[in-house]
Amino acid sequence: MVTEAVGEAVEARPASRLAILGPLRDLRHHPLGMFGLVVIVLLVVVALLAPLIAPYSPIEQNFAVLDSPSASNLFGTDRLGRDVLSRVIYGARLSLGIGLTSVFFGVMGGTVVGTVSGFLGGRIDTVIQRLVDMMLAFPPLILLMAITAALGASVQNVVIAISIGLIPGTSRIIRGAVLSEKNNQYVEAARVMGASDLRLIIRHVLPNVTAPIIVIVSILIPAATLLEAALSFLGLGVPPPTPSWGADLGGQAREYFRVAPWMAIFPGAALSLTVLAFNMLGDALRDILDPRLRQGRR
Amino acid sequence: MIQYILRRLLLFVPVMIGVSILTFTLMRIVPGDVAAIALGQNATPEALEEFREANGLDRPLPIQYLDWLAGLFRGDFGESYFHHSAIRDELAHRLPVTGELMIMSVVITLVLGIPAGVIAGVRPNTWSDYVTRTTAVFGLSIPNFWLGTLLILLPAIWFDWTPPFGRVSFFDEPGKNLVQFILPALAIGISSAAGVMRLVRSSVLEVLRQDYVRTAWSKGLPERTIIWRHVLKNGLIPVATLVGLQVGTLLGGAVIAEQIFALPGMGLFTLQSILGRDYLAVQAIVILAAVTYAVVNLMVDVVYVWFDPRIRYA
Repeated sequence: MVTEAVGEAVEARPASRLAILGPLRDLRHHPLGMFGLVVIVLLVVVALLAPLIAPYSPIEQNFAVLDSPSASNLFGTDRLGRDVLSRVIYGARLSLGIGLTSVFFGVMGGTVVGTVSGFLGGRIDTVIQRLVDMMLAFPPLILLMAITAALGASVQNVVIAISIGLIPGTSRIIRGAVLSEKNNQYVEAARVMGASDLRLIIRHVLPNVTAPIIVIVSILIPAATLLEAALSFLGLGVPPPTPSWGADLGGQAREYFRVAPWMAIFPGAALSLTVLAFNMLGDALRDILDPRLRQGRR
Repeated sequence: MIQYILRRLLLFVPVMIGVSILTFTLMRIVPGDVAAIALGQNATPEALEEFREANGLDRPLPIQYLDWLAGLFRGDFGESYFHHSAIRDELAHRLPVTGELMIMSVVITLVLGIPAGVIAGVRPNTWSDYVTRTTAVFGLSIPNFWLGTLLILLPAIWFDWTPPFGRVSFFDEPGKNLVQFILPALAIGISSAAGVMRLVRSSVLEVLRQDYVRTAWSKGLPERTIIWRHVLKNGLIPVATLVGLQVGTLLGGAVIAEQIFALPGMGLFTLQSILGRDYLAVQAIVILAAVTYAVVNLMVDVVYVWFDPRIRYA
């Protein structure tokens, strides 16, 4: 699905080196995208200021267990007597943190691999692409489950696993973009003037694949956030007692949802809102970066 | 055509060998001694040694790999360290469960996604378009495990109704079986449906601009005929690809849905096997998943020809 959507965006894109600024300015005309951006900014603020905003510790068991929402615990308390609101607030740190860092590393890795593969071509390209084929033959979640099981459950390992999981798909798309870019005359011209491969890549090719990279990032951030949550939900992600929206929805907590539904509602709603905001922003960015889609809006 | 299929199948071979090596290696890096987990903490060193020997775990890794690969070709996946049964039998029980779940979620994907996409695409920028598109963004954003949780939790709170957990065979109690599968299938199918909806919408929009559609209008054909005969037939081609690509996601979703709804299928087996370091079981599952994925996507390419006679594979 990722490949699909990005494939469309790859072809279209007059690029400037500051490709990121243009789209952000155009966002004014996209109310839903604007909404997404505002929510994301708020979430980032909440995540950064968690210790100041959260009323209590997310880990200490300060209260009566399974207390329904009240003035002192707005989102109620969980089965261990922890404040659900505080856990949800701290959960934003983890969710955004893991989502953003793993997309950063994954896309960076994918860009390097894809550029090398596409630009150099030949045997290197063939070998890399067969490896990518192999990785893509795994159902994504199952691959990640195996990697986290191999590495052990920790925040760092979840980031590593998700980053690795994002590399093959990203590299394939970047490779396609690089392939269509590298035969353009301006690259040829620079080569004739004696530019080295590295310089060609950095100065000429990469700036022109910024648009697909932005699109990939906009699709992958919500995807990575969901993957972290799914892994933690299955008990293969972030170990307890670290507050994670996914982990709080899984494991033994599930036995208490019937009597304490707030334990299930709030972390899930926070996670959905985050993903929704990223999706809305991503849709708007794709709209702006891809004139072909824009025609559909009329 | 036959030649094309054969060539594609031949291309599977190196990829599958790669996948098998990758899985094999990955499972051996997993920390945790399978013998210690299988026998419990109080096992004596001698018992551990015996277990390793009995299961061939003391041999060099390349030998273990080749042995396992040879078994695969005979349809022998080896023996589960924990269930003490042949993995093949385990799979035979579990495949139908996940198969049914997959089929139902693909049906949900198509039944919800295609009509919604058509409704949105035929009348762009009307309220029906906005409603379906907004619903789709929500559908894409709601995590399947939360949706699954809510599908159990909300009826339980509001109507004091819980779905019958576990799984009865469709042939014994068809009604109960469908109730058991519809909720998990919804939980994992909604986001795919949202994806399909968006694709159908943009595809319908594009087809509506084609010359032959204008011709159909000017011939005075009724809208229904145009939509069904001309727009849908061409607009649905990319949907096949999308659904093919989504099979991998749906398989991942099965792990989650089976866990939530206590369905004894492949997904639950995957989770248990990974947690239990049941090497051979995990290897079997991953190979099966990769083969399924590859075969489904080959089928998609074949179906293309049927959808679109212009496409020919040399």
